[in-house]
Amino acid sequence: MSRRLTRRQALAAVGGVSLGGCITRAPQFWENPPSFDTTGLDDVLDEPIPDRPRLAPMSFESAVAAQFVDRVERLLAPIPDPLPESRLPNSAIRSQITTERRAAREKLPTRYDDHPPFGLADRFAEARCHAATAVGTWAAVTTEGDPTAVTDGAGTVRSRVDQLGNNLPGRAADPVAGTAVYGSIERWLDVAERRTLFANTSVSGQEDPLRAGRTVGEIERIQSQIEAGGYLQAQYLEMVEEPQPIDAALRSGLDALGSDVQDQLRALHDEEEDRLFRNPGIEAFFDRRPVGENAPSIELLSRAVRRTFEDISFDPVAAEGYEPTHPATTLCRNLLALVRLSACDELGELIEDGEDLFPKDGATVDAAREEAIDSVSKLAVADNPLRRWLATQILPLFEEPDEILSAESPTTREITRAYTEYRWISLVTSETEAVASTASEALMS
Amino acid sequence: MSPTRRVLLAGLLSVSGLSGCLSAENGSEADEHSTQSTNTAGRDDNPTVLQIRSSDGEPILSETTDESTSAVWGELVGDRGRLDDLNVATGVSDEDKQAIRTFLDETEYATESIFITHSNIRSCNRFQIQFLSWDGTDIEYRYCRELRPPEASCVTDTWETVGLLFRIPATLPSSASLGGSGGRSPCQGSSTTYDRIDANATVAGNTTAIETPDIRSNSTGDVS
Repeated sequence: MSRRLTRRQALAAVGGVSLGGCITRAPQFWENPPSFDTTGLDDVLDEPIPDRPRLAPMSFESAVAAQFVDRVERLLAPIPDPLPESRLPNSAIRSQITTERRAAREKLPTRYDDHPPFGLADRFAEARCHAATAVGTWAAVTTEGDPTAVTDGAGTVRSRVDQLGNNLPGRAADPVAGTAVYGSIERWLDVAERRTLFANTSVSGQEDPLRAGRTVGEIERIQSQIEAGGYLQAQYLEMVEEPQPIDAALRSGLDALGSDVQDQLRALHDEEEDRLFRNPGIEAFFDRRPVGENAPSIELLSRAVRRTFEDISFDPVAAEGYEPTHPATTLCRNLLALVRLSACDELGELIEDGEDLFPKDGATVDAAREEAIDSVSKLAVADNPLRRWLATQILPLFEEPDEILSAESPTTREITRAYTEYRWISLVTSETEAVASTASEALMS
Repeated sequence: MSPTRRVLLAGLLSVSGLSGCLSAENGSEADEHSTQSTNTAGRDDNPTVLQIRSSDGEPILSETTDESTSAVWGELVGDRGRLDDLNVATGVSDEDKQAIRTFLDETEYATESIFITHSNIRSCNRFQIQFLSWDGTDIEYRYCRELRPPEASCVTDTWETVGLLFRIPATLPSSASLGGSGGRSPCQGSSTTYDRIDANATVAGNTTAIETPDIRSNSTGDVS
């Protein structure tokens, strides 16, 4: 921490020299990048990414999962299939209906036991959101359809969110396991309350059908999450032999992690910033920058800092006396914030060491992806449920670089971006053990 | 505008609305017309405007002289004689050509002017004109954009040129031109009826997949 406190002073000193002499433009990395050898890039995506881990050994019963699938099918049933242009000439409306219908079906799992319960719950919520968007849009353009009748109203759904939230966090096998399970359920409620249900969610008869459909879809998503959340809580409690209350332990954990987050944010802002959640800029993470202005490592740090602070701004963070409505998910989001801030710090040190993170060839990219997969694979099977929860948050990070590399002919700059994202996955994963241990100790103390 | 012409125009608007997106929501009722006007300045909160789409990105009108033909992107028409020089462009449908001719022919040029201008918009959206104002040679209008009705044939993510023919209840100089336009998207409140397709969309059964379990864990963890 003390090292960070000197960074701005050092940068200020450097700035003074610059102002006293000639101001020269820093070298731009991509104006004259090193050469890149594509050898080794062909098989880079061969190794599959790890499966999403289970947070607790419970499952969706097949009969229950089938009811979620049935709801999706019932939602889609009224829409003509196919839906030709002659029936609905307006392509924007037709496209939203058919695209959402297709997305709903793609999200439905073919086998229920292939997915851990929270993964399955997320797929059901996505599928129901897409299906309700499709039929809500269709209902808005049909004479006998009524988009408000597709799903329950926002007021009813908000009451159900409150009702489930009042039961959370419930009892658990221990505070660490309970935080992982209830943190995941509370996250659905927290996002619903502060994003979807906070905004205007009324669907009126005169509203633009595209917006009406999307609103219906978002309400259906929350409804699905409420149903899955209540069901999974019941399933979890059934498998726990002697469930214990975890409220006091969560309070201790929040105090410890909240204090750590607050210290880190204060240090990044040199103790001067009133708004701790503001992005401090990448310069807060290194003292000197011996790499080009837009070197891949600098661009990665810029993206990482931006994403981290976007989430810190939105997420419940237990700093500055914040009293959480949903303590389990607040603890989880603090955990994630600490891991990412630590990874940004590590990346800053790499930059200070002159690391530009430019891969010299395809084999280097391949090796970085393998290392990322290995590190997340270990995380996904860790004994500590909080580390497994962190794996669920890190696994989606493979999507962007994998998509880049699956393109027909990505540019060197795009390949480099994918490479840096794999390096970021390894960096973040390497920070999880220490942070999760700190959290676990605080929870179990 | 005489009631007779309004009735005729309203008829045309409803017929042409599918292909040319004539703004039926604007200026169809005389008692809704809120106009404040002097000889040189005024404002119309419900202006009479004809909106015609051009499929080829070209303006809807052109001017033919002895030497050449040129596109008309913007102009104030204050004289019936000027109509002889104006032609409807080839990218405009026959139905819309007729609408343009009728609209121009039925203008009382002794007390009214036609202002022609163009704008671009996504194929599946349309303009709702909120007001038109004029001051000397400056003409301005405000708009919002909204989704076109379900039966409007359009293509997602493509852009079209829309010719806007405003009928201004004042005689303005031919040097008058567009001083500015601005708008927002989407419109706040719309008179467009979207539920027009003859079909049902009732979802069978409950609005839920499962009943939400009643979680009231007691000290032993039993679920009641």
